[in-house]
Amino acid sequence: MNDNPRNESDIDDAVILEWLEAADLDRVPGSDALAPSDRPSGRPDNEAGSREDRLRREYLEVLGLLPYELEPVAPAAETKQRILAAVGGSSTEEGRPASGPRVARGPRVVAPGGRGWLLPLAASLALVLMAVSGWLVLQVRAQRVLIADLSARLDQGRSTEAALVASRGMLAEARSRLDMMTAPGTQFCALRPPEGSLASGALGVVVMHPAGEDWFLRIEGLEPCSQGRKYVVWFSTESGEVPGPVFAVKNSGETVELSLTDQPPGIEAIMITLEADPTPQAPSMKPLLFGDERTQLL
Amino acid sequence: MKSSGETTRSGAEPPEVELVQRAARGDSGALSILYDRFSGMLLGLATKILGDPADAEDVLQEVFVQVWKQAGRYQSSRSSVSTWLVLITRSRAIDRLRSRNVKLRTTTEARRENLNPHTSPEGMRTVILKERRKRLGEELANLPPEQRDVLEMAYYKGMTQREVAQATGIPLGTVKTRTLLAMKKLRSALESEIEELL
Repeated sequence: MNDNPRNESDIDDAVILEWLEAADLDRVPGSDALAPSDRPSGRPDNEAGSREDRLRREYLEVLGLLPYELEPVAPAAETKQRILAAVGGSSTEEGRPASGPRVARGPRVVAPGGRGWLLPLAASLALVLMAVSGWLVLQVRAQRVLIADLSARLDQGRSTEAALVASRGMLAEARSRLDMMTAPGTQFCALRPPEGSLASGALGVVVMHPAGEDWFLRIEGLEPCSQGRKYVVWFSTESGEVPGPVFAVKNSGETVELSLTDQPPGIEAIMITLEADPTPQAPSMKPLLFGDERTQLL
Repeated sequence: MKSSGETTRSGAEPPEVELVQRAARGDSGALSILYDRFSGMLLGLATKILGDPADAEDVLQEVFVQVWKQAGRYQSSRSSVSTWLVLITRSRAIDRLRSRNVKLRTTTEARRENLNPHTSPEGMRTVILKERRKRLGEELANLPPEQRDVLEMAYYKGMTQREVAQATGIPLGTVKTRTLLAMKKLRSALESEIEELL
């Protein structure tokens, strides 16, 4: 011992207190000095370094022996289960030989700390999903508002288009009638109430195209039809009275406009009666309006 | 004398170094055996330090998870498995004691809360553990009270020599001297036990 560069007492003092305070082997100053040697642990060695290592090791083992004085405390059964669950094993694996199939499996495939990052990862994913879901909900709401707005505009456009089409139709019809009235050869036949007519305030006119097609009738001042009755246009010909269009007046002062087609040949006069039969074969009353004079402008 | 740091055991029980090596390869069964052998002693140590059984159980769980993680780093040339486990447990328990400011209680109080006997069959039947406990108890009892007190304050309460001096009102030099004397006496008295671990 006297040949050692450091005597045992020096080593004791240097080591004991440091190790006692360091507690954890990984924190023990100088404990790495025990590791690098490949010689079997504890084998006698004449070198001073080995004796120092040996002393260090012995004091370390004293620290490891101290708690053996304490009475053992039985852990709860769940503690072992929790540990084995945490490391990916189960209590039934107790005593399984190292050469068993479980050993052949990669030791860190089921990482001991694996569940440690799973929870934060799952929480992060959940937060991301919640954020994305919230963003999508807002986007859907905005899209719905936009769709409703576009739908309203589309309806408005359709309505405008329909009105425009109707206006164009009316304009085309008015132009057609104007063309007809100003065409050479067009004749006009005024319809007036004869004496004793019940429609003394009514008046009408028939515009007759020279080709005999697309006649136009306009009447105003007829009283609204009574229950179940309709006004009937009659064409007087040499062979008798031929019924034409049937129409109704719903409101007082209403103007009636009709296109007349399929007129019989040889028309001598036109008259209007009020009939209870919707398909009369002959007038049942004296005419309310009558016209047999034709006037040609051009 | 063992050369692998293993504890003498009867029959075909695997040496502790081998169990740690198997745990390092992912054998949870080996960890289970280590748990059966040491959990009672380690929980006793954690309970002594923390004074709270629930905290001690938490520490025990942390210790074995750490053992599972770090089994590949264990070097038998640095310490025996038993000492490795003890130092990990002591370190964890003292860290928790400091961080959570767990109220210390006496060993008697802690024992009163843990009336259940240690039921681990392996722990109970291992004669050497009983002998160790008896030997340690005797040798610690043989220490002068003033030496034992400073050693226990440093070991179980994680106090530095300076903190022990402040707590006891004893000069720092005296505290160091008493601690060193206690450790030297124990090293000398426990020679055979240490040999078994080397």
